[in-house]
Amino acid sequence: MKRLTLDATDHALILGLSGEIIMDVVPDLRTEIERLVAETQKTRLVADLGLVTFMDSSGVGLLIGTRRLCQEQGKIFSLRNPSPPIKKLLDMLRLTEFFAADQANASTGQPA
Amino acid sequence: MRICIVDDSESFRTYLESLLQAAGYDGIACFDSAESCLDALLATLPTPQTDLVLMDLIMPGMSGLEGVRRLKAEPALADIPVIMVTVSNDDENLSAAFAAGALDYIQKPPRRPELLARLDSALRLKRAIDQNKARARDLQDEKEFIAAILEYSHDGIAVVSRDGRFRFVSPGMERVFALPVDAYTTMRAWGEMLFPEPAVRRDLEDILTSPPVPGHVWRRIYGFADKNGQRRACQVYFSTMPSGDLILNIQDVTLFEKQKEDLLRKHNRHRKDLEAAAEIQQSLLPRRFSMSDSFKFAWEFTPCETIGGDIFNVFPLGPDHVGLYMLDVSGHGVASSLVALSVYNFMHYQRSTLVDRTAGYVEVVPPQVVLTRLDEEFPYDKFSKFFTIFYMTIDLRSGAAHYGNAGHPPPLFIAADGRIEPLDQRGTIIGLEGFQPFSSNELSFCPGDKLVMVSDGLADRLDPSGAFFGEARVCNAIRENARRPVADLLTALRQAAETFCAGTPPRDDVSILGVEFLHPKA
Repeated sequence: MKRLTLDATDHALILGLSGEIIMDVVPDLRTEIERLVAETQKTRLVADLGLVTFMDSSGVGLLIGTRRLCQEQGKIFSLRNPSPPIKKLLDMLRLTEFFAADQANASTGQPA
Repeated sequence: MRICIVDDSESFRTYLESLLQAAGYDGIACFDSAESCLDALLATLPTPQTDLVLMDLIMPGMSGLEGVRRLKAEPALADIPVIMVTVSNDDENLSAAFAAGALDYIQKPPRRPELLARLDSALRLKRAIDQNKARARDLQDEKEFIAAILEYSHDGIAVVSRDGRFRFVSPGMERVFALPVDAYTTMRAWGEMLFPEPAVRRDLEDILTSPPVPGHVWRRIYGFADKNGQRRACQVYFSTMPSGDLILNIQDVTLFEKQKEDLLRKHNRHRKDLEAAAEIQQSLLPRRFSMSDSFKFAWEFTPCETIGGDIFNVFPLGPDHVGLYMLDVSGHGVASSLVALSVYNFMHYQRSTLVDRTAGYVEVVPPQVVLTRLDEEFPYDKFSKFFTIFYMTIDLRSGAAHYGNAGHPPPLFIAADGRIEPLDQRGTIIGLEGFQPFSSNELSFCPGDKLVMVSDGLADRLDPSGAFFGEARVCNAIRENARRPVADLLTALRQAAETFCAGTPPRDDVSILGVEFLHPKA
């Protein structure tokens, strides 16, 4: 099953994740996403989690790492469409605000 | 030019041509000599289209007899039937013409029905010859094609008849076993020549005695010794033809087998490393003894196969306090367990992370300060890992507890009367470098009160159908056993999960830690 599909708007590259984002698949995904972040001309990256059914801590680590990488490159990273279990997981880890912070900064025009 | 008429008499040529045309034949060509006819036929090679030649026997220049001889001497033309046309019964020349390959003869002047009947049968004969030739050509092409497949196919292919003799051995067999094709006599002799292991030879005998039923395929991997005595391996597919003959498809899989062995060896070494790491991880878990008679604890730990990043501890903090924590490093595998070990060391009770001795006595560091120190020490970037941790200190004199939670599943407080309350207050994970400040919360233990901490590996356990054990089942199991001693409660919780999972191993470490406050320390 393909776990990463790409889409784009005028300003954003959208990474569509799906299925189980767990340790077994994270290393390959990380390599692919790091490449995409480095190559893209877009200033925003959005991880669409609508089709993600389960995420373990490695998957969460992938999101944290991607956010950091984007920050280093002056890009804005955000999440969208988390399914209920993923929303719950992010809430359990108290990461909802963490992933919203970039977006808030972007909308108020402040640097990330 | 389907039909050639050869005659030196122009009037007769014209007569014959019109007769044939009237009978519906077309593609008629007329020649005034055998030479000109032969030249014209040779010019059509290699694909002559002519079906019949009507040849005058007596002509000036080359005679009809010589014409037949020349025509039959050319292999590409030899199939064309020739009907001789004679004025009289020239028996001598006629028998010579038959000997040279003529098919039939007619006399001049020809009688129309006879001429047409002989023409027709000659043409039918030619059609039959052409069809046979075409069939033979197709068969030959097919044979050559199959031979080429066998010649260039990398696999060895052999056919063994029911009496054990090789009926066919492809050139690939030479390559696989470095044996000339004529060395294959019987399957038994072949077995003795190549396969040193008696078990392999027995297997070959057995397969010959009771081969797979048609449509079934058996696969074997045999070790064999090549002509230099080197150990090699071949894979053999046995199947049976409808005739009962056994077909062997054989590949040299020496390299593949060697890679498999190497992989297995590496895998074993890796597994041993993991086992050793898991042992170290488990050796760090608190020993099952009670450090004070006012306080009891118990734990259950089910490691995942690949070793996880769970670790927990219960320890004294100075004379009157205990500290306890449970942490879960993201991911699993050796890297996560090393980070867990590193955090374990950082959280050692003799270190200044947890107690402050600067004032001359032991002062317990508040949980939010401990979490802040961890966050400074273990930024996500350091190991590309984050972790969740629940940390609590309990004053055994009063039962007063302080705790902080960094993203860990909420522990469940179980009052002595069985009332259950999750400790929901918590902050974000460790590793975000001060993204949000941590806070401490307070709680008071009365005698008989318990606290149960779990790692998320428990609720995330799966049954064989892929359903999660889930938080609701965790809570139910705790509720049903809430009044039992803490060790029994934990055992019941672990067993509830195991019953639900029915043998499906956990994908992440599963940790359960429970404490029970018995009475204030005197």
